[in-house]
Amino acid sequence: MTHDEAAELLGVLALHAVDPEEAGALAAHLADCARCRQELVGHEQVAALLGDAGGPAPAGLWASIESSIRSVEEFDRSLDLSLLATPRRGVRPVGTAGPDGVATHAGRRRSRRVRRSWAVQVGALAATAAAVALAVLGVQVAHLDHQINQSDQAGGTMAAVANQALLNPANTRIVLSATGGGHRPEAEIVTTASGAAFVWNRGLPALAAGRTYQLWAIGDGRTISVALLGGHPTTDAFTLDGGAPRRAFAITDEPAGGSISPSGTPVAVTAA
Amino acid sequence: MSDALAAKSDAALVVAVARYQEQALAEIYRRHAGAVHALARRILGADGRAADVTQEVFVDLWNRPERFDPDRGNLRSFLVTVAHRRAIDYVRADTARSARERRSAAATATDGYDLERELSDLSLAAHLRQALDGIPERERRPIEMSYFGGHTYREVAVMLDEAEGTIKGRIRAGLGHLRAALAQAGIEHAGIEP
Repeated sequence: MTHDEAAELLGVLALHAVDPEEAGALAAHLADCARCRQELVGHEQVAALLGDAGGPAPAGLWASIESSIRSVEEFDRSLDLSLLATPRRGVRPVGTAGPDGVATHAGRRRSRRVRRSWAVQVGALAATAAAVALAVLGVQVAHLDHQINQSDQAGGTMAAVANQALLNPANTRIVLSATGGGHRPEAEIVTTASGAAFVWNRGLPALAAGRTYQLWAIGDGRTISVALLGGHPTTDAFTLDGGAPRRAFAITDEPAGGSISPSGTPVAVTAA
Repeated sequence: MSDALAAKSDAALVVAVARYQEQALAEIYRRHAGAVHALARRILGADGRAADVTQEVFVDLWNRPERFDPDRGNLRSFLVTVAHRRAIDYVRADTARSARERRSAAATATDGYDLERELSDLSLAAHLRQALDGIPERERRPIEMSYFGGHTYREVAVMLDEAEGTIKGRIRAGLGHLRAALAQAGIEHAGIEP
């Protein structure tokens, strides 16, 4: 899609009036065009105003919402270790978290899960971290040096939200390079001060059925799973709480559902 | 409802939601559910799906509060935009062609979309009405049909017997003109700079 073709669609995209196939091509262009992203944000602001009407919500609806969120909490409390390998819809499985376990998959539900003891894991994980460090080829940490007007990221797709984070010069951008030779970028991570983080696939090939890429945060003698990226990753979000290691990241090829610890040589890493 | 919650900003309430404070979500609901539901009802008609959309929006906020960034805009606009997207998904998934035709007929029967009956914020309503009145009908109509009718721009082009490129251009230009008019009027909702 050319720039002019994409620019023509920005207004209709803001109104959610684009066909899915065009929306996909447009999203790919937006990932690389700050000018279009800026214009889109302006259109989205106006669209949000069009929909900003008032009036009371219907009676009884809050009770339904309350019931819904409480059923989610009860499910979380019912989880035990035997269920960790079997993710429920919409929730990534727990990786590992120590007594001060803080790294999470996409949110803060880690704090409600049953935590496992790290005592048995420490030795194996330390060895894994060392192996990852030896396999490092390079690290690039770049801070974005341009600014655009911040805008309402309301309701955006994951890609749109992630792109906003990518554009924020206050965030940290980290490239994961391929292991085994060369400096080909395989993935890119942006971390924010709030702990929200995003990862983009920049070159990871699709995996066979029954496999998934798994993202790990490494440091302080710990290796913590932070996200399952799936077998055909694009863009994903995860959370790094304050105590989560951030010195390095690695991506491994794991069985679907993920692994408690890395099961093989990483396919992409950053330096420690 | 505690006075402490009522005094909190939207952003502070979202932080509280992230810490599993249900009362914070209840306060957000109190402030913004009306707007969310009104938009969903405007798009979906007076049926239970508007309530479904409203519920989905707030449950999603509970499950993923990190999606809202207060540095990039206000919470109401965020919720309204999420609601719009979900409502449009319902419209597009509606395979009952007769139901869509009835909605289209109802929208066509009126002489343009009458915002005055929908907007509770009189100040915003006045500015928005003035801004809409200020853009040409050829720009306003496609915007209304897309945003409130749930039609893609291609469908709008067919309905108005215009080229697709013409509709794209008119929507883009119309939104640009609205933005300029609202900014000039000092509207600060959704982060529009005066």
